[in-house]
Amino acid sequence: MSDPTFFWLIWLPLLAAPLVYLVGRLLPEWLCRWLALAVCLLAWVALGLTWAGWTGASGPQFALGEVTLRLDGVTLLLALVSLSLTTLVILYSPATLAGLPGQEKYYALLLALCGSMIGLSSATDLFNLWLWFEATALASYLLVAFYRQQPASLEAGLKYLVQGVAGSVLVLFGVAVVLAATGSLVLAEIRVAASSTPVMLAAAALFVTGFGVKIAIVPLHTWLPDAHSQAPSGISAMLSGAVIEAGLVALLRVVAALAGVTASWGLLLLGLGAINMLVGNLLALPQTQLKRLLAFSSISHVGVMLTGIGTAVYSGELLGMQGALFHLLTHGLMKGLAFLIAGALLYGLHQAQDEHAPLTIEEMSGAGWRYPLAGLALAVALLSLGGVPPLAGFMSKWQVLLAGLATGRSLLIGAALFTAFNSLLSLAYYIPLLGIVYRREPSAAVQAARPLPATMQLPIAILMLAIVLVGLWPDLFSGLTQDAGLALLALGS
Amino acid sequence: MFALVPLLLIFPLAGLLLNLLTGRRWREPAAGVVATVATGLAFGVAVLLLVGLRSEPAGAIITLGRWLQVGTLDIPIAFQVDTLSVTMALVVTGVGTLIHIYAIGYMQGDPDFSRFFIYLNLFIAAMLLLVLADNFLLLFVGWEGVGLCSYLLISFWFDRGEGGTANASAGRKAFIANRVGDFGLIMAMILLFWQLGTLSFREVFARAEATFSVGEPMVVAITLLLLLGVTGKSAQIPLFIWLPDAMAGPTPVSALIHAATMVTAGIYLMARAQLLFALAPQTQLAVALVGGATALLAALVAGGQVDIKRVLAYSTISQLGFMVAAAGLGAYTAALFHLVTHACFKALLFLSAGSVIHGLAHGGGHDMQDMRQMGGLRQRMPVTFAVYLVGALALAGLPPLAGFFSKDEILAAAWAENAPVFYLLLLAAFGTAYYMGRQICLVFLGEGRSEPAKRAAESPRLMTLPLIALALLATFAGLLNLPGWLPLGHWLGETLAESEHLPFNWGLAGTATLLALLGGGLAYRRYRLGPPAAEPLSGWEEFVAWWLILTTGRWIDDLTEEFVREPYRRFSRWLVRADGAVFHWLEGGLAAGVRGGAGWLRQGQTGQLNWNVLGIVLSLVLLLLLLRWA
Repeated sequence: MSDPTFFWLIWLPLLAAPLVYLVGRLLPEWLCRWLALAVCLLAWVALGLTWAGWTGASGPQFALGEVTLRLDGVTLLLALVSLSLTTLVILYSPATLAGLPGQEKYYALLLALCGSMIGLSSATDLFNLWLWFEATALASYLLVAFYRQQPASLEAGLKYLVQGVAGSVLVLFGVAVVLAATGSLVLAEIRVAASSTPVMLAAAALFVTGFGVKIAIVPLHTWLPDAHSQAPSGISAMLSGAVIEAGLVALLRVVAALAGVTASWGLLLLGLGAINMLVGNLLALPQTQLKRLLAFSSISHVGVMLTGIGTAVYSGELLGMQGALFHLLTHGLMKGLAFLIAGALLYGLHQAQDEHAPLTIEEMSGAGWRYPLAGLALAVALLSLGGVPPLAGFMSKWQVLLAGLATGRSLLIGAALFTAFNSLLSLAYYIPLLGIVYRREPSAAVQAARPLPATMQLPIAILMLAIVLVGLWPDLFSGLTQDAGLALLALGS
Repeated sequence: MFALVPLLLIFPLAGLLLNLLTGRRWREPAAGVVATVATGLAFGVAVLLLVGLRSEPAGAIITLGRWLQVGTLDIPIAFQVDTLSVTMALVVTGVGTLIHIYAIGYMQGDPDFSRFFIYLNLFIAAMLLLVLADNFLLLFVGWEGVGLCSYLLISFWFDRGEGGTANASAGRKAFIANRVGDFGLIMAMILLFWQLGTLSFREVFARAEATFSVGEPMVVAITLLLLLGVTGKSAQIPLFIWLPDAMAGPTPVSALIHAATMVTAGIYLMARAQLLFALAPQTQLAVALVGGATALLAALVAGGQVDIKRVLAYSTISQLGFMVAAAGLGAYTAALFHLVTHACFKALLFLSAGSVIHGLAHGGGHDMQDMRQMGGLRQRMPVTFAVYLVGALALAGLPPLAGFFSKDEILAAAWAENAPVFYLLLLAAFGTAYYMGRQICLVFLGEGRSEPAKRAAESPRLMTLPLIALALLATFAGLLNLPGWLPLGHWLGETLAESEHLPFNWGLAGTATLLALLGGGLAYRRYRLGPPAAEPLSGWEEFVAWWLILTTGRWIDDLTEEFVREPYRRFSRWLVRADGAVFHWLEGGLAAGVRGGAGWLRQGQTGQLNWNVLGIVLSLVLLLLLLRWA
């Protein structure tokens, strides 16, 4: 069954990317910005039509020769997250890029990133999974090092590149091993053929390590704080809000295919989740720069998702997977918002005065009074990240917790309680941050701060509203997460 | 006609909103005029309701809509119009209007002029809600509302008083004492709902008679809890301690809230819940004894006070004791009759006391309330003196003033029902005449004993006119229930189930009058030239040996200090220590552990790319081993 809207959902951003680049090179720069935005809006139309035709069962697919791309709940979820963030980031970015050369590359790569993530989520065979994964990574390497005049930015890009390539080599190696052992690359076929042989175990280890680098599973996370804090803030939002989640989706596809290889998948994921939560939170605590703090907090949130997935794999209950996918969605909103605000503050306090310095937390003293909207939105984002009801982050964490508690197994209850404990731990750095932002003595930087342009405030307001609304109506996406969870748990069976 | 009843609340609320929005911007009297007009209009509505009830005495229940529905609990927003609620509404709005007028003069020049009138209107609205509600929960909203207003108004000058905090803590004391009473009311409501499944007055009373037998423990418990609520709001033993301190509020507040209206809410509640109390004779007895004991105790304490307003405060407690005792004896008409007359003459006395304070302030004494510093004001403030005398005589119960008739009805009921309570009340009546005589002598007779007293001046017309109006009321309110005619009795009889009215007892009336004259005479003999050299007093004419202890009323505070507050403080200090020992240690340990762990982990974050890639490879190896052995 072929579906043109689904086809365009993937290919529209990808095909438009070179066009945007050309337009930016040959015509005035502002034109490529508007073109990119228009492409996003068209992609939204494609997503809307695809969604309208979505029945929840086996989705539409299309084939290019041997390669088949199929739509399922995971695709819709990831497309929703990445397209939302891409659109808002395009809207948000002009001020942060003002006066810089090479803006056409920025917008072109952003579109390519978005398209390749949607492609990644709909790949049905191992090799294409890797291919889309590499495409995503390539676009993000370039975007991280976008401020190429700055040593710190280049260093971060290099670290990201080297470690990312090391990871992707391992994945490719794993693909080869699986092909040799099972004779197939199609995920559904591998699932049937996979058995617990040493070779397949090695492949599983290769995949977990390889994708683990991209997902920033501790101890493979060392590139993340640099990359996420040195990238332009819009890109940080994309990286934390969508790209590491895309890596997670890739890993989940593989885990589903290799489910038969080992009985300890659930245990492994739970353990990795616990370590990620704890280490991410502990490392976030002593940070003095806002963006680094947010980057470390992403590590702990990956831990929450891993815990939910581990719960589902361990117990076979859908609820944990649903919680993890819901958290994937809300984390995209929350962390996207937090990074956009960080970028806005960076812009207001430093960039608008042509300074390039990281934004320290001390400098944010009193910023909440200077920028009422950004301050409020930061409060919403941080409280939601910390899991304070009734915001979106609470609802998704709660679903993960509930999944663990509902199984009644002591290990899973323990994991749920550990998640709750980490949520509490994370408040230890979110709350003081809020205290500083709403302090009554403005710092020197805040006193000299410039106003924020409307193009920055609008995406911030939209995301803030979204977090509140999703918190108030958590059922809004339960159908979607359920379809996605089923697709991941029941692949090929 | 009865459909007008929501207007009673809407007028004060509209006045409050108007003042809230614009009051600060207007020139001074405007906010007061708005508030006064709002209350006056509410009074007009109450009069219309009165006219309506004359032709249709059964009244009606006006339902505006549903407020809450949870399970079987269904609370409408509904008002009960009957002779009882309209009587209360008339007192609240009538006396309220006069006090509003007076307050415009009294609060002149206060920086928070408009805030004062906002609170006053809020109070009127809450009080009307209390008396008009047709169910316990809505009544409770009003009950809490007047408590809140009382708190706000007692500490209205929250930056004044001893040490700059005395007024604020007086407000807090009132609030907390009232909360204890409110707890009783809440528990009573919960029990009622549990037992009867409804909170609407009509349903509760109908079902209670069918459900409870007379003297059943459950109904005794409910009524005792209601009594606890009454002792809080109406300042009876053991919760009366807040009322004397409440005098920290501006004098119009003392008159309106702490004499005429709010403190009578307890009497109203008992009259409303009359059928419940009738089912619990044990509680009835307790009510009568509490009332009688409070009446006597407060009358004794009042005789030793030196602050002009504190005398009146204890006097209010004592008179409320009369009303509570009457309610306990089943003489609800007498209780309400006394409530009405007391509202007139006690408001009059408070406002006159305010006029005295105002006059002394004119003579240079700021907030002077010590009667030992006064004297000789008869010549300087003739109008105030005249009305004060009327109020004092009415309070002392001398014929033919209002207090004589209402107090006599209560005494007659006690004589017929319960001898111990009768003697308690009789002694209290004697004490009343004594402390009022003492006050008149100390304030108005003799020579001025301080500079301000010598230079005091009469208050402005705006203040004296309401005084004269109240003095007329205090004189003629007795007509409301003149023996043999009994208009109030018949009027309230439409709502209250009352046993037959007792005939006027000439012997009793004569005795009470004689005692009052004796008390007043004693006081005059002793105080006509000013306070004796040694206050507090001792000597042959003192009839209570432990007078000394009673002279200040401090002992009540000391008792609570010793047996309630100090143990509580000790307990909390112990908790603080325990907290320090256990939780602080835990917290400290947790924080140190987290910080240490973070520092240790940080060392792994070297930023060395080689190590990072090596880490990736090592992780792979580790994972392989894990999967192999798992």
